Amino acid sequence: MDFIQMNGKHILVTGATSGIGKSTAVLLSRLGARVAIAGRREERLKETLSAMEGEGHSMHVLDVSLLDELEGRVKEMVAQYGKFDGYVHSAGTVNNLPLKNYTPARLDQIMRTNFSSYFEMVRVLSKKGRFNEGMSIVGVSSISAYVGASAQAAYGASKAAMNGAMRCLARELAEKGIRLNNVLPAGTNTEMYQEYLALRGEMKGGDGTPAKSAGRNYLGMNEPEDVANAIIFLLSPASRQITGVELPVDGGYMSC
Amino acid sequence: MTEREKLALLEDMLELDEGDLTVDTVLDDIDEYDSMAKLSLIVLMEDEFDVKLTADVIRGFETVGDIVALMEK
Repeated sequence: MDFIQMNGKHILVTGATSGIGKSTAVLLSRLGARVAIAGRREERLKETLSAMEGEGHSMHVLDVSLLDELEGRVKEMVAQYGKFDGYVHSAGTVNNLPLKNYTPARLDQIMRTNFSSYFEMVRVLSKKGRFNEGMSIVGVSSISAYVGASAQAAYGASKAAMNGAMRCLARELAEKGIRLNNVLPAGTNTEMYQEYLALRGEMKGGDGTPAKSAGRNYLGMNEPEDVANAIIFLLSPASRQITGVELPVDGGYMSC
Repeated sequence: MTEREKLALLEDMLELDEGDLTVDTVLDDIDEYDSMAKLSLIVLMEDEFDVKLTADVIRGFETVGDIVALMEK
């Protein structure tokens, strides 16, 4: 990946405690970036930090659903560690709720955690003095924005909302030289997704072995690194002419 | 909460009539106990009893009584 240059870039990754966010933070560190990792669980953040290479990283215990706190926290990060060259919004919640289990409060919580937090982070990071020229923002959306699945109504809606906002904001923030894109992973082989498959009875024989394909993803299930690779391409100057794009990382799922 | 009240919660979740379930009812014999119902069960147990169910625990359930046994309130 020599054409991907991340040396010295300062990148904020939320949801860095596990899965795609953790994998992205680790790979960014190997490519020479300074990474600010953020997430709710301090112990898991420490595990991510210990897996990272290089120096100049920082760790921030942060719950992105606490929207009113985000601007202050970002200001502190910039004051202490400098402006950002990129942001990865990997924070979010996966909810598998049949319609009858929803309440207005539960729906609000899912939308706040997955969508409103993305919107607010983009707002506060795109203010003057908080970003370097050419900042790139990558949101971790999902093919659930397009593919219907039982018990995924609010999750899919929250990811579709991220995509709609991203396309508009890509145009709005282009004048500041900021690019925005989203990756749309299909099911990715994380602890959380394996549990989800098990609950839905989609594991092979119930022996803990993930099925090669959970559906139409004929190249097989994503590993977190597959999604991280796409994110880092979109963060890097190698994608400087790409903005407002939804990039599926889905093993072919959306082509069917 | 009485045993009857716990059974009523499960009957409501499964959209069954009152009195359809007993602690001896075998889950495999309930048509409505499908994968969606299991997701609803996870929410019910967490909301009402602060019990987090895993796929392994759910797989181990054989009768309604196995679920009721985890409903401590």
